[in-house]
Amino acid sequence: MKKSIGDNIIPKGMSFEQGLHLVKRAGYDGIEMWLGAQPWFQMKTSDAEARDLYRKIRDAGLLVSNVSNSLDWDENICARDPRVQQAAFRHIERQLETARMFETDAILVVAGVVTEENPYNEVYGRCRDALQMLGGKAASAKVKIGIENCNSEQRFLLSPREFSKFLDEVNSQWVGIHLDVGNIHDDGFAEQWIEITGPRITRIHLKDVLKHRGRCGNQSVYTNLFLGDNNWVAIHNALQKVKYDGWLIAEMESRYHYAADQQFFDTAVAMDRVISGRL
Amino acid sequence: MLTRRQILLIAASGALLPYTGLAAREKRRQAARWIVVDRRNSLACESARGFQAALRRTGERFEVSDAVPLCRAELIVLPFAGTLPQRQVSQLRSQLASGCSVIFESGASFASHDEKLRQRMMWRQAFGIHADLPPSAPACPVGDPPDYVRYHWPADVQIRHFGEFFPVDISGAEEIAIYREGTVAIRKRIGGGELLFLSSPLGPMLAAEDHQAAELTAGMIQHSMSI
Repeated sequence: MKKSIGDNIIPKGMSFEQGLHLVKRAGYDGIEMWLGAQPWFQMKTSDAEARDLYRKIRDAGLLVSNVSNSLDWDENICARDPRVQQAAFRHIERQLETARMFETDAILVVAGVVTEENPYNEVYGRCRDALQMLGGKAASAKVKIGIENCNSEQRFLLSPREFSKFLDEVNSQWVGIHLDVGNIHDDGFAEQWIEITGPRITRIHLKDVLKHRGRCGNQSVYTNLFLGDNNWVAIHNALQKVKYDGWLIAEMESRYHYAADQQFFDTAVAMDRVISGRL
Repeated sequence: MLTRRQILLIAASGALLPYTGLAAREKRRQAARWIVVDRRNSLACESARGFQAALRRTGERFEVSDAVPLCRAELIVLPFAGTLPQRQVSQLRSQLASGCSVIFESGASFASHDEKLRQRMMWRQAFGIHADLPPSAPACPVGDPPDYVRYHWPADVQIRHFGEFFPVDISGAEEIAIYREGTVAIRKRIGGGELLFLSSPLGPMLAAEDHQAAELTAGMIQHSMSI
């Protein structure tokens, strides 16, 4: 397994190049590029600028693990408003394009956000139809779309069996699950999600979660690896069982208040322990 | 055109009939694959459902019965099998002698101490298999992470451990799975047939749609064709 971390964690005031240097020094193999999260990678970023970003990544001795986006929360494929849905299609297509430029084969999409106004069944059908269409584009690009499980935030596809059934209905080998082991909260167990969705996992986000704590003000339920309630031995064993050998990507929502660079190093060491099973 | 195997099956039933309507009816009556299940045991029924799903995927006909068939069979699966009556044991040995593959899944997990002892004695007398009692501490205490049985035949897969751990002696047999350093499944030639002895239940994982359990069982069924 290889280690990666998102470019969205690069501290404010640090340039992209400085961030890459830090990621490399901390021991990661790659970087997750977040479309829309940092000034250097936006929808208005041209192809030439994107290629320049990739040159810098390679110069730093890193690979791109995948292309994610921070835009789905406002522009989602489940939107009732066709203009919003079209905007979602555009940024996902841009992810597919840049993934090819960055020589990676996976993107992350948050498909579906259930609200009081946009109910579950509508979201389900619209997401399924949209992903059947996008699956064709992903096949053309030879880039897999990983649908992230943001269980509590999306209030959608809340169990691994339902997630699998949803993927059955999408019925594309180019659409799988980008599994976040921290997002399951009180609704289940990360290791069971790994077992059930195993062959369909495109990438894995690692973070820990404080179960029994809802979001409160600006407090996060997420925390650094080994400080939360995930059972990391079980997660390691389940990864071995399903023979997952792909990218593990750190996604740290809670940031260090001081010595921001230290979080990169500490997280990398913790990821090594998850990979080796020394827990 | 009858295959050699079909001719042998018909012959074993008592009469080598010409391939007439009567013979065809006879062939249909005699399924080559059987699941023998104790319907009074809910876990045996759950496990049987898993094996039924696995056999259904092969597209071949099979029968579910509460007793070891008298007609010659290619494959007999005993899901979560308890202590069998002596007559059933003899029939099973006779099937093995004539070239049948038997998947025997132990039903000793969750059994009383006396029942465990009875089952161990039956394994020894019927198949020459020696197994220890489970360690006194539970294999998976509540709160411990789940652990997996590691199969290395006929597929390299890991299956969630289920129930209790009965270490099996591999003398005269070939180990096919381990759990925490101990052998928990073996294959053993008996007569012209072969016994696959699973001391950690597999059927419930099939019923739970575990992909690797399905792959493993498909390999076992495929192998039974080559005996």
